[in-house]
Amino acid sequence: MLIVVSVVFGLTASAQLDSRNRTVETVVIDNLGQLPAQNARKYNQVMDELASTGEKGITLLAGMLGPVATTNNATFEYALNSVVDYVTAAGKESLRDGVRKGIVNGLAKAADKDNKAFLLTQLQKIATPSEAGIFESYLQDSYLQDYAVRGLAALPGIDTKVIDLMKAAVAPNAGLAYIAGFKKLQAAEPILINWKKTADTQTQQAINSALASCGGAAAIAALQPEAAKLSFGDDATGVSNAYLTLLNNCDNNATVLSAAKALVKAKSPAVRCAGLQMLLKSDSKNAAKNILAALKDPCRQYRTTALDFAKDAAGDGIISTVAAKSKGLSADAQTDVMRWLGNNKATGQIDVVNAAMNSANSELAAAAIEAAGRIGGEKALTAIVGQLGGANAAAASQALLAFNGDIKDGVLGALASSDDKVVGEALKLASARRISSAYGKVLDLTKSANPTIKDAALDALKGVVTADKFGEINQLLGASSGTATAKLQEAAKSALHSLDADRQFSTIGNAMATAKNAALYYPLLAQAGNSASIAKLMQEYKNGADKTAAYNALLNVDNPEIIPTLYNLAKDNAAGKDAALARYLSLANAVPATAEAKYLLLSKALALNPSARVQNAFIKALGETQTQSALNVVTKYLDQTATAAAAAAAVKTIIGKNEALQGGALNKAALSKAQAVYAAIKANNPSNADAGYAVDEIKLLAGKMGERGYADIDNNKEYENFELLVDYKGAGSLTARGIEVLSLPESEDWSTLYVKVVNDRLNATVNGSAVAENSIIKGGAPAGRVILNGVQTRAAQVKELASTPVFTLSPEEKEQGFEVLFDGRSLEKWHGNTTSYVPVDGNIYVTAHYGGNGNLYTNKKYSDFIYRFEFCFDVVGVNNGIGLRTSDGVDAAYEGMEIQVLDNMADIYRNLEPYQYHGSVYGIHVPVKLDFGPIRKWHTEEIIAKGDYIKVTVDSTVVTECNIREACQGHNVAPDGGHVNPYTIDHKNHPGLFNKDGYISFCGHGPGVMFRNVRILDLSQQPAAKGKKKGKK
Amino acid sequence: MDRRKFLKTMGSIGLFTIVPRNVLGGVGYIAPSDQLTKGIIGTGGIGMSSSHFSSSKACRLVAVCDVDKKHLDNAVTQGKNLFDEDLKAYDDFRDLISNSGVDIVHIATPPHWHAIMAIEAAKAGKDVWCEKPMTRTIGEGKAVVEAMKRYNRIFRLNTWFRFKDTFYGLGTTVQPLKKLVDSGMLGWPLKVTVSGANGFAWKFFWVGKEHLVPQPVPSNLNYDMWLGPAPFKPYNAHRTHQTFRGYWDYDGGGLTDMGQHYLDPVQYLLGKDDTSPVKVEVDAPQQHSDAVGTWRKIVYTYADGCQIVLEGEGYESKGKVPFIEGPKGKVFRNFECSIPDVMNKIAELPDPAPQRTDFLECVRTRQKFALNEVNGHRSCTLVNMGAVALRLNRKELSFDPVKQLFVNDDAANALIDQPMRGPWHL
Repeated sequence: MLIVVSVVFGLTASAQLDSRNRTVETVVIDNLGQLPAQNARKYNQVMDELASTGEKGITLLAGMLGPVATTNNATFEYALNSVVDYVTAAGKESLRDGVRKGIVNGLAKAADKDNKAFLLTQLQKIATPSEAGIFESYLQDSYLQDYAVRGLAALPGIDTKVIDLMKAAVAPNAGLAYIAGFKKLQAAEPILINWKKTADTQTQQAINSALASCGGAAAIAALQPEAAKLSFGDDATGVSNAYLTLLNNCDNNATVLSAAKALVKAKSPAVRCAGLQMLLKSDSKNAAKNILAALKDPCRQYRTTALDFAKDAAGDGIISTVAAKSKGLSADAQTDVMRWLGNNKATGQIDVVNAAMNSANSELAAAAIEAAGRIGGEKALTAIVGQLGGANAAAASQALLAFNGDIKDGVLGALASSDDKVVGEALKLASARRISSAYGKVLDLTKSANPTIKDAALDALKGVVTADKFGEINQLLGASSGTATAKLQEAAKSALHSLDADRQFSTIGNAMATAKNAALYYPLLAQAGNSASIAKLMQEYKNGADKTAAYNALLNVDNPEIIPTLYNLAKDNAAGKDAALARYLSLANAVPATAEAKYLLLSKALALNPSARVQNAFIKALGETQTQSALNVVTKYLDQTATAAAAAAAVKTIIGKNEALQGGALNKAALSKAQAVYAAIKANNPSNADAGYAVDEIKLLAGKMGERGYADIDNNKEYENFELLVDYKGAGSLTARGIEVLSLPESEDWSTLYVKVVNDRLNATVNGSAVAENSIIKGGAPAGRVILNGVQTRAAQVKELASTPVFTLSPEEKEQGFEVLFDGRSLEKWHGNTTSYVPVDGNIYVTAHYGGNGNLYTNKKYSDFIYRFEFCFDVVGVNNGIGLRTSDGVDAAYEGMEIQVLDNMADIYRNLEPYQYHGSVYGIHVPVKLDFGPIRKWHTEEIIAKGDYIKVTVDSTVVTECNIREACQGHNVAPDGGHVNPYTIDHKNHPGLFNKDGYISFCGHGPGVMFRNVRILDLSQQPAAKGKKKGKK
Repeated sequence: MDRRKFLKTMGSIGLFTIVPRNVLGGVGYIAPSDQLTKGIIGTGGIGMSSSHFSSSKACRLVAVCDVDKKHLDNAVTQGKNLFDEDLKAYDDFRDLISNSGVDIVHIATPPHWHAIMAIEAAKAGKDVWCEKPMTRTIGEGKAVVEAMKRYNRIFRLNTWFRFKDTFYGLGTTVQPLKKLVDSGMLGWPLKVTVSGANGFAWKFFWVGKEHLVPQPVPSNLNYDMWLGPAPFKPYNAHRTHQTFRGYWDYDGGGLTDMGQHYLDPVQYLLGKDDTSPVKVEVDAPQQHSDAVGTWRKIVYTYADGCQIVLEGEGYESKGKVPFIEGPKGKVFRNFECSIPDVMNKIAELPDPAPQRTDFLECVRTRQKFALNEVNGHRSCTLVNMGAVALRLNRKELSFDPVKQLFVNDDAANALIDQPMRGPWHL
């Protein structure tokens, strides 16, 4: 595991063989196997490697594309498209050339026209001017010419080339015209104009469009007569639009102005609008005059164009100019002006706007009111308030709600008005804006003789009341009757709202103590909503003045603590069940809880069997938990018509979103039932596209479903590796593999237990919280019945997992006396870091998942032995090692010795010292350097240690055979006692090199390496002759 | 005299003052001169949905267009059944647009057509109602903005959460959120998380198939016209109609389908209607050249540090996540807010400036609709920035909101202005 190197990141030079000694073919194949990449790290790694294969690799890759009718090219497309995009990024310039050449070669070789199209699209992204000819060669190909045109259009730096092509064209050519237009090639203008003489309609359109983007004065002159003939209207050749575009971009004001004068006389309002913009822009001197003239036009489009572009053309001063003249305009034009002033927040023109509010034309008056609201300020406020009593009261009220500024003073003034209509509007505004300073006035108005005002004032109280006024409101409430009561309750709630729940409760309690009618306070208690309020309401519900009111109040409590109460209410009161459960659901949905806890909460309530509407809401919420437990529940609802659709949606959600549930007969059946439900919906209503998508989605999911999945527990079956899902009540334990493996925390209500037992490890959660993580099962049988002891259970399901492959000795090794140290299932012959070293699928996998640190050691000590195992690098750059004759917690490379385990092919280890290669006696002896080939391949290794003799064989290559004492001339430590030891290759001291015995260890906890089939022959326990003979085989 | 002639005559005389509608015929009465007409292009899924395939006194449906004869025939039949209208039926949208009896062109086609049709409509002097996403590229959006401006057209981009309806999991309209944000109570800059945890589901069933076997084109479909400006690829039913969103040539999956719904209100909330983020970061599995895939996370960052985080497939924050998070406060689902008594506090503040949300009224008064080509283009730019980063498998792209170009990435900019298949062009 010990590595001290200068780590060099970077690209491998493009060569026939990369640092792993893979051929280009191998690199391409290796990387194709990893596509599509699931994350950026993998993507960059794969693309870097592919791009580094250069022309040869990319040519090879492009050649893999087969005819689209018969080949699935997806992987090659992933590779080619992405490698091209990858090298277009900044910083990847050096890789572009090879990729481009590869694409060009591929294009030349491709036989299928759709593959050519694909490769032309790729080339378009990285082509240089040198490739222009390639695109050009497809210009006459009826299928591919379009790809060629786009390629040339997108290719920079070929302007001359395009002009040459245009000059050489035998007839006007729409494609070339398009290229010239896309590139804005000014030099194309005369050619395009010349082409117009003989072009057909479609080509005319292409030419006109091209001229619009690349033309100048000549094009304007050429297009003008044609456009004028159409009165500048639209036609199939698009000439008028091209003409207008050119004028729009033209900076010769005289040209534009003279054209604009004709345009504003056109028939089409849209063309006139375009013309007016040009007129205003090109003649800034007369802009104001032209704007005022335009405002007299009968066409609103024309007028609003003048206004929209007025400031750009004539500066901000135009606002006062127009405002001053607005009175003389038609009511419609004045309306336009008012909206414009409002849009521009023309503060200076508020008087003009205010004056218009009094117009007899209601549209104008409303526009002025709205504009004043946007403009804001004191004058505007007064004027709008003044409208509250008139025909435009609604518009005025609306404007005040969105008024640009504080409306308090205006509203207070209006409340004092003698006009009841004004007062009525003002009350609403005071309440909406929470104008608490209006409280006194509003309170007065609640005593108004006018019942409308009185009512409105009572309504408004809730908006203006503050906590200190609760006493007053409470008095009114106590004395109230009829509709006033509900309004005063709202006011009282509002008064208390800013207090915390406990203070609300104590205030309400005091009021209730002296009140005649306790029921008046139920809504207030509901708002307070703390546990004391809930208890009080329950008490009132059982024995109080108004049970119905108490019940309704309970349903308004916004506190998850009430959930159990709601459950009981639903259970005991059939009439109110739906309402109570609907409330239960909305609170349950808002509770932060694990999916398992939510499932329990929801399934419990659903079992009370509310109406289908409420059932469906619960089923939907269960679907969102994405759990198997919820799936089991909702599946039952697939059979009932009223709940089938909701259940089908939930099944689809759960299985679709939770990959762990995509398998097994039960879940497959649920899915196919859900599909049938959707198919029936679609059949009944063919235009229900969503049901159609759902069927497609389920079909896709069905294809992903594996064999393994949950099934009802078989009490007679012996399980080895499994997942268990069960609800339980009480306290007890779990037995598996013949021993008790987990004690279950006591649970009064149903809890959901999930257990995963694999190899020698157990993970478990109760209601989604971990109760055991990566814990080791010690002892027990290889398999056994799964038994829940001492608890009540329901819905127990087991997902059987693959058996752990078990390693057994070959007859030969058995006869020789080898002992298995790791059989695939357990680490019982090991100690140390059993947290990071985990049995997975029969291997010891080194993972970073569970934290943990340190090394893994054999339980026994060994001196002379033959140690055999297999290893596999799961990720690039793995670093581990086999410690020999070492002890706990020390660095085996020095306190003992370390036989290096290292992916020495990884690019990051390019500057490694040879004594660090795989198989070295670290720092002591240089091994033969190995080529491991691709990662994720298993390799065998044998280490023989006999006294000073060490031999390491990997995949039948002897990489190390040495005498460690001779290797350092007997000086494992520096003779001078210093830190530098001239006798070892790494110049370090190795005090433990000559240890007589010690543990064998795995050194290091970097993730991504696997070991298996670990066994040992202890030579010290063997008759010498036998060990020697076999050891040297 | 038909309505059209009546209007024209009236326009040229111009002496007639329109009597307010409510005076003439009572509330709800529409004077004939105020009646508008519309034509729908694209009578597949969205174009035939009840909220769009509608006809009223205020706006009569008079024409429909589709390149699939089955769709078209169905629309004509439905027009007769539902509204007793003899709809003009077109298989070429240019003919619908040049029909002088149509005032409003309603574009309900796949997005690769939106810009061309909107611009054609503007040239012909029509107003436009366009379904989301507004355009398939940022460059097309710019072109639509220019065309609408040049011909002074009224444009509505059809998503509506910035001015009405409950905004997904927020359990509220956007208005109180806007007030809260504008009040500064949450502080600045803000981070907005658009996540399944807050009720925003990305429709990841809109993924394409990476391997489509060529099929014969059905006789009722003009496939060449369906493709229009998109590159020619062999026909397979999955490319078209209800599944087209799974292909980059026409759209961009769940992001482009739902993105503008979810992001337009956020641009509004953050006051970013005239700008765009300066950076987009994407975490996604590798994307295929043709078929759209899923993604896990997209993060947009504005120059002032505001961020929008989109959480996608398998990436939903577990548990409770704030929708808006600022240095001084957070807002969760159902308008739950870390600031006590927040509803009362924002009630004291003025409502946001009124928005013009009646499209027909906007057409009549020539005022910009609340969600128009300008702010619509900006919110669509968010969507398209994400799509570009995804398509290129770039982890990160920088963007210049003024030039509306990506910074230092030619390949990304090549996706802003993409050449079209002839004879189509912008």
